[in-house]
Amino acid sequence: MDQSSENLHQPIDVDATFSRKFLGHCRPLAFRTESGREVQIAQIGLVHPKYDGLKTTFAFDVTDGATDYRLALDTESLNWYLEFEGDHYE
Amino acid sequence: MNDILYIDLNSCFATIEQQARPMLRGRPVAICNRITPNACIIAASYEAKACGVKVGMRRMEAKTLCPDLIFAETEPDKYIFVHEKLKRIMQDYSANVVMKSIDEGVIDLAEAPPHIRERNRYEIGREIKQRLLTEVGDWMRCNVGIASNRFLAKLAGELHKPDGLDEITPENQRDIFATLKLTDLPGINVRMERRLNAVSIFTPLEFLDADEEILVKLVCKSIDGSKWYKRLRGIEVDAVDYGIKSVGRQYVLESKLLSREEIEARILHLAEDVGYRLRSKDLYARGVYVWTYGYDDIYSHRSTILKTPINTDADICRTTMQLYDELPAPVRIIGVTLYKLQDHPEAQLCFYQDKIDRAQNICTAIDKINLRFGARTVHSARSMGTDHVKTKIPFGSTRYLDHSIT
Repeated sequence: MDQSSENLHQPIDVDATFSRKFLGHCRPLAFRTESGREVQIAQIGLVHPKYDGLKTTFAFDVTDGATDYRLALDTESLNWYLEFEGDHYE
Repeated sequence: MNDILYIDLNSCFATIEQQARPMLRGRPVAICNRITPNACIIAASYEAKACGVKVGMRRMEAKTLCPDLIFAETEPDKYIFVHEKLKRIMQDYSANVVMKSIDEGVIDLAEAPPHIRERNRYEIGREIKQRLLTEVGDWMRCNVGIASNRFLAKLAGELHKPDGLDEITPENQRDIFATLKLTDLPGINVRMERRLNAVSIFTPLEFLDADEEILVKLVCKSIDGSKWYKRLRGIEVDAVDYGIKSVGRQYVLESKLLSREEIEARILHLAEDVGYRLRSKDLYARGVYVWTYGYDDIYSHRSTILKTPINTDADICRTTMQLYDELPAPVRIIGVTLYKLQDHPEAQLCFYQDKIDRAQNICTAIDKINLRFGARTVHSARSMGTDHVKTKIPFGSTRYLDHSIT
């Protein structure tokens, strides 16, 4: 792989809107990493749930137009994490 | 009016990856279960297929054909999510929906509500395609085939890939068959083609015109010939649920250098996995089958049929290991299958029933913990360190998608 990292699980701050007109109702708009880097989300690819026992995490596969990211919303703690970052691949 | 709609997602896993990761769109993508130097491609995007990349091809060979090919590992959660979405869309049109695999399913409109039954089939097909775009994602495409039975509907769905929408009717069937080869028909492989050729059937039209007696007595040498005769004429013979006959899993070992103990841990992981699947369907098994595939391409197997049915991890693992110990090393692929399934335990009480009950209760408690806190929260000590032995995508049955333990 080129510049890609998986299973990062970095806590992040996310700006999001909640509206019925969006698939899954929640739409992240931008996020900031702990190091202060800010990423504006240009497009959401897929939003899907991941189950670990009864715990559900929602995975948001998004891009800023140059790099793909996976953001994860933990539905128990309502915390957001950056799980994956990649600008592809091999 | 034709009542069967066959829905098939195009290059399913690769398309879903392109949907999820917009940077992959329009680029050749190949999906593997694990990205290793000799990985086998299980799905390819249309861009990759255009370069000659095929499903089943090895990574190195594909990379030679298509140097820009991008490899991605399977992510079952995503595919199961899209599968469930597609199933829900299909169920909005009829209660009689059967998912044939993770990426295809059949809608039977014969007993659908009147307001749906009366609708134009092309209109329903176009609506399903549109709903896939708006409810799953704008990169998703599917083929829709319409016909009077499952066989012809599947064939119709394969006429114009990707994103096709076709109907086979008695009026256009001969024209469509005239453009196809025998192996273009679903269920006709090279071996079946040879058998048809042996009685001078070389084209789908000749197959269609063949006498039922020839198909029964000379081609299939069984009642299957009669089924083919009906299938080709749009009569439904495939609306059959055969039930669960076996539960199995296999795993391609990640290295040649694994010790006997490390391989045993992976075998036990598989045994625990199939045991969980068995119990999730309230079934018991009398047959246990363990097989290996060696680096010398030799397939070895051992099986046993037990006097009493089993379904606890302790029993399944013990029997599995007894069989595995008889198999030769070194191995490249390992597999465990439970068969001779039944939905009740032994009818006659055993002299040691309290011990059996205790083992059953422990197993039930472990299943409950794993359901609550996640797969493999509790498992046998001997299968520790094998969490990477993740569940592969079930290409055939979709029965365990809601019970997958990765």
